[in-house]
Amino acid sequence: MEYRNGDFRGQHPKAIDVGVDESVAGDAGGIDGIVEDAKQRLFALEADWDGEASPVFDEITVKTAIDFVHELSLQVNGENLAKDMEILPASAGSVDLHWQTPHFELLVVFHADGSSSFYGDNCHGERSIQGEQRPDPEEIARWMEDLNA
Amino acid sequence: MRKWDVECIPNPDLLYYRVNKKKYHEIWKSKRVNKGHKFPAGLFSFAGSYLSVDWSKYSTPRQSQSRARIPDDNGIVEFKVADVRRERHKVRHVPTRGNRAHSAICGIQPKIRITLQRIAQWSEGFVIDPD
Repeated sequence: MEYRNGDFRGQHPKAIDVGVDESVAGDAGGIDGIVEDAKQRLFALEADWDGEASPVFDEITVKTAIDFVHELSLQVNGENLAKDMEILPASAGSVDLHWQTPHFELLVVFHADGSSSFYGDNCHGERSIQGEQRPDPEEIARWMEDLNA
Repeated sequence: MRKWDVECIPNPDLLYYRVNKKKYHEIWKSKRVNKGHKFPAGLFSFAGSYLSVDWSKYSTPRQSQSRARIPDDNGIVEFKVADVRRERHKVRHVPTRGNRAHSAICGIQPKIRITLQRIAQWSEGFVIDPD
């Protein structure tokens, strides 16, 4: 495991396999590519990008979201994490991490004021997790694993 | 302008929500997967701890659209009150001096946004065309 420029890279020895393709298990390359694309898109958006007077994206908010992705990638192997992950602009300077898979849906919101909130379920309102704080990557990884089982 | 009484919103009624075209198209451009979903969760913007909507008893989709800064830049989606409450979100009438229909959906933001993306429908005649 390596810590570089504020980002964790590599594979955690306790990483949980929730994926379907062993050939990409532990490969952070897919995640890194998605993260880089997302950063470029978010920072390219101008104020009022949504017609609702949202500000430009703050570097700290984007970094907080991306750090969470990297921490989660240490816990979760497999292409599913990257395959279904969206890093999207949201209102008022917030950044959304969103997964919609056949087994679960999870939305983690990193707000511009530094707070976070999250909700996930099995796409039918059951087996849900939610909170109004930064989610624990280990807890999220176990939940993803349970719903993929 | 008079101050309006707060009323209970019945389950069969509808709530209208404005969707800005710029936002709709920008979020779709940013999406890389799940393009088949009609309403990205990011469409639903919170004002602090609640999401502002208009109650169908005192608003039509056209009136809801007309309250936007630039009305023609907005589509309208609608939700059934019962569908919102089924997911245990609170729906409250919060009239303002300028808008008797103003109401609020309260709860944990990401849960509300996921609920709304699942139950939202375009109001007829107020659809935003994809790019």
